[in-house]
Amino acid sequence: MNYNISQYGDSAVLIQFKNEISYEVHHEVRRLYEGLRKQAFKGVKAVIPAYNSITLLYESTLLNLKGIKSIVKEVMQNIDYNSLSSYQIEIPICYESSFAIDKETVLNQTKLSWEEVVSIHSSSQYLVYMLGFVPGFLYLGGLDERLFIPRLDEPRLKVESGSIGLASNQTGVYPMAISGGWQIIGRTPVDLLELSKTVKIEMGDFVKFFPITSDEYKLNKYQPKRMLIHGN
Amino acid sequence: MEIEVLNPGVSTTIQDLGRVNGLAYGVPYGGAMDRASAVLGNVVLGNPISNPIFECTLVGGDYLFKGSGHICISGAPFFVRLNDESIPYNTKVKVVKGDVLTVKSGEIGRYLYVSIKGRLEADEYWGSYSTYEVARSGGYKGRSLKKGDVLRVKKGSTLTYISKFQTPVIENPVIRWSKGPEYHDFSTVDLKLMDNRQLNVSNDSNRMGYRVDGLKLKGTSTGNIISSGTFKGVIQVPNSGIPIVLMSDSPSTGGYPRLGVVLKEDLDQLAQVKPGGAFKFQYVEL
Repeated sequence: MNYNISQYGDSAVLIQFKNEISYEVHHEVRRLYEGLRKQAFKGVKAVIPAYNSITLLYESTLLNLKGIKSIVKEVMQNIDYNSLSSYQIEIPICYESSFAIDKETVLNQTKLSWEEVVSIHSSSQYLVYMLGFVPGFLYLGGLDERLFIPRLDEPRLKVESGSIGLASNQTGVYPMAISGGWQIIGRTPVDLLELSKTVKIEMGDFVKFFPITSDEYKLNKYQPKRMLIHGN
Repeated sequence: MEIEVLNPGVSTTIQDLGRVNGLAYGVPYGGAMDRASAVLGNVVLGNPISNPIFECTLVGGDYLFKGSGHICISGAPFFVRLNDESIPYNTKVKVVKGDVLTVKSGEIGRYLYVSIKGRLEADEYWGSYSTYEVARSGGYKGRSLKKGDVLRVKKGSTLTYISKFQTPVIENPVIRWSKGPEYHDFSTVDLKLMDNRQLNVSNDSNRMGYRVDGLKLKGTSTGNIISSGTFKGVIQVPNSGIPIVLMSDSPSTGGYPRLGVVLKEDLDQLAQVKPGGAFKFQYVEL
């Protein structure tokens, strides 16, 4: 796949792939990201992977655009996507009414029963396209089309930490109490902000949600782990 | 030595030079808003430049020293007193048990730094001691200081003592910027509006970003972009048409068109512009 490398200020470059969100583009971003991480290239300070791009911060006394172009070329030639390992994290969600504050809207718009909504949402495997926004937030792909509903017209000033929402083709968990406009269908007792300090969920990982009762929510005996599901 | 917070001012946090390891995980760079002044304080005291320091915003507050040691004030030229006597900037100053440091706001500038000889104890988060309040992590308990907090300073490694420096706090700075990834999606009218015009840092500005008052751009015809990497210095233009310069606690990704990027060298000067303070942009080709 083609990519374009351009100067992004005086100490960063942007490597852009095709202008779309897709697994195909994600695979290319991930190949480059993993390749850049594997080797300590002199002058590369940090790498921010996203849906269809990588932002590379560099030390301008040690590296320039030309040098970065040859690094990227080398990595893209050498890293095979199939050689990369995959991991999965399972996150408990309580979908009961006390947490699913937008249940009625979701039922009206999807024309599904709540059992169906829960079953569809918790049976898909979601791809972590990227991390960003705030620590612990995962940009997930792979939501079943039957659950595509628009976000709220007016965002709520405060969404409780752990709330899981739907917004068009996206689903995701708020890792902290912040304002937001997603339709809330449940809540996890897992503190994703705290979890992000010990379990490093990576772009390219997979997430599965499993339903729990409100009693299990209260007990909160969950310690999600990153489990290897492919490769080594 | 210990330092007790008698009055924390508007917002005083512990900062260092920030973190790069978390950018792929949504963790901002963080760190001192005016890096040059932060480095300067540590250099004057002979500390490693990345040692944690106090970053006082606009009104610094009052601090009681419960032991003896050395401090250095750097950054914004505020009203600073040690037991009612003025003390010099960018200079090693001796403090003894019972001394009280008072910091009040000044005519210009936004961030003042108090560095302490030795090593100020702080919590680590992703390899840095910078406070990141959004994640309640780093620095002192992941928050800005409160009355009654007691911070400890340990003996640290000693480097060379250097004496005189210039801080980046000036009136009406000219902030140079270069092309961002979506620069070419903006109209020539918008691009013309940016430069040689008196602008102000909005009151609605903080460690995450500075909104620019005095400009309303039309924006791009393509609108928001697919979320992509951002960092300190990036000039984003949301739908409102009012540009925002991302600062130290900038989210690591964003979806607004990125018109430009402020030159790294000019970031400390911009950081020091007060809410309502004036500056100008100037475009440069790299």
